[in-house]
Amino acid sequence: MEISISTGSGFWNPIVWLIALLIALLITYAIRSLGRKDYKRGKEQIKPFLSGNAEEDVEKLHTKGDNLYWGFRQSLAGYYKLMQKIHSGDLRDYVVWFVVILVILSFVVFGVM
Amino acid sequence: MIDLFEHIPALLIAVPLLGAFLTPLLGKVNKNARNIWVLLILALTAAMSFLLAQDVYTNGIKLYTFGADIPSLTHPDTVSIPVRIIFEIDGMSVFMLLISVIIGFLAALYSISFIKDENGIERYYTLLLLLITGMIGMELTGDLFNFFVFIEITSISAAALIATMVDREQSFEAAFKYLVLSSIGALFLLLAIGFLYGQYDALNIATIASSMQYTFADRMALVLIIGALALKAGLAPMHMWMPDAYGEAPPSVTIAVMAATLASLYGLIRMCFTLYGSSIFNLSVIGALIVAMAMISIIIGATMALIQSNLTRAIAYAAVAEIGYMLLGIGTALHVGINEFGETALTGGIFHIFNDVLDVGLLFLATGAVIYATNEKSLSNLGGLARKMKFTTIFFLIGLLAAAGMPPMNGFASKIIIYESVYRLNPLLSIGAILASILMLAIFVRIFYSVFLGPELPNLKNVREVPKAMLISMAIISMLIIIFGLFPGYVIDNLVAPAASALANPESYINAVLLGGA
Repeated sequence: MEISISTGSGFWNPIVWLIALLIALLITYAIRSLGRKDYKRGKEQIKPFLSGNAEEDVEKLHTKGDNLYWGFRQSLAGYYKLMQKIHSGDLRDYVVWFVVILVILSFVVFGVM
Repeated sequence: MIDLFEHIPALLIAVPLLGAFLTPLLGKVNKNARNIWVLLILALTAAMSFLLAQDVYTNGIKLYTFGADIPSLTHPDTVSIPVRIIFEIDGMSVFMLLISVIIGFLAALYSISFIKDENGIERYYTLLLLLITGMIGMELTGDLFNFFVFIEITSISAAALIATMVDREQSFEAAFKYLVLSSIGALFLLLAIGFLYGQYDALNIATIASSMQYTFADRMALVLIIGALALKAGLAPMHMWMPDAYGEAPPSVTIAVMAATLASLYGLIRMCFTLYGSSIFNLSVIGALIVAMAMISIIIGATMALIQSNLTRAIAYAAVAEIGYMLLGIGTALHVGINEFGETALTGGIFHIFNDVLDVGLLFLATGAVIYATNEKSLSNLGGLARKMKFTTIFFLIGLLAAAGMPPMNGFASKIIIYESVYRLNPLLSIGAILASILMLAIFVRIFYSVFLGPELPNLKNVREVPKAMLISMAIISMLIIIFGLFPGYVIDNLVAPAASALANPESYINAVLLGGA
């Protein structure tokens, strides 16, 4: 069964990749095994240390989906403002975009081709 | 005695159609009998599709003339052109057919548990079978008007399915938008068919393709066909119905509607490469335009998915970006022609069609499992579900990695072909596509973290794993993703290459009909 594929300027073989991944995992395991041996599961040492402050309720520590990538959204606020304006949810706007594309296609087919 | 094997193309329409109309009757008798009936009909349709695929891969293009004494006889020698409806099935048709029947079966299997408490389940299954019939018809027919009829069947049944959750006004709104836009697209398509029929007095794709003269009517029809089918395929900036429809439909419907969208994309590809594929037309500029629209789809889809707080809408925008990846490869092939890297780009684009419906489809089904278990769609109200829904978590993770194009999943195999071939057209296109793919990974990681990781939330303490039928559907898709990812060479050689070859050689498609007379 053929596994490799030609990508035009190279090739892709997932089995080679998996072997490389396995080697990387083995190296990772070897490095990890060099770590401290006195780690004890279920003792105080596994609890997070927050600069000596009491740990909050774990539910409150969960970062909600809406808060993730806040910085990305803020830095692209202008772009997103425009995009949200375009994605108005108004069906008439959807039809306008269809007409715009028909006009561009007409220009290309009758004017350029 | 009738040779049923010879009549498979007709049976592929007749069997699901019969199944659709008998489903409500069986539903009145027994619910389990109805469910088994629907699955049996779709399993039979899938089995016939595999037999047909085997035949096409072994013997080449298959012709089926409706009403003819000998189905392979396209026209008697006393008539110069075919006048009957002909199904013409080549490598590309079979490729799309397999997608439709596999996804149709899995959507029905998933639905058994997912919509069991909804009203009007008989109507639901009838519409689902009609939707699958429409898709199959679009992919098999070699007749333009017949294509229009099947596109209408898919549009109407898909719109009704999107509104399945009748108690939610958002579903109605999404269905209404889908129906209006589909109708507009279909009417413009009909207008284009009228132009071509008036010019050539024929509706058969091969016959018209062989007679193309590059007249005003031909070019007007080209504008209308590309516009209408790009709208149906959800190419930016005409993608806006997709987040509405995919986001509001039940996920079992979404995956079927995704397959229907890809059937429209097939129509776009077929018209460009076969109907207008003769050397008279230079579609290089159209190819460039499709590449531009594909890049816009990728960028808009990826960036808009990032800011969604609704789980299904986020994945719907990712689906917009995935349509862009397919058309980036296909548009490049149209732009540069079938040269060395044009053919590779075409292969990558076609391969990505199958990968997209598996990857994003799995994400929709896993999302559906989350909604089924929690009745929640908002990312802010979800978290910690990996503790209660282990299998769904694994399936979502597989879908996430595949859709984001992570090796060794199938999405990576098709995307790397697209990146490397498109790079030779313009490196900036590849760089943009890769950056968008990285952004997609970030989006899916955000969704995965928000929904599955973190502490157990108090409002989700009683959540349980979803029923087996839903898990089996997701498991089958996951298995296909892994197989396609680990053996991409086998998939390309046996499924994708015949499809790409069929598009690259329109003469074979044309000659099969024109020389198919006695």
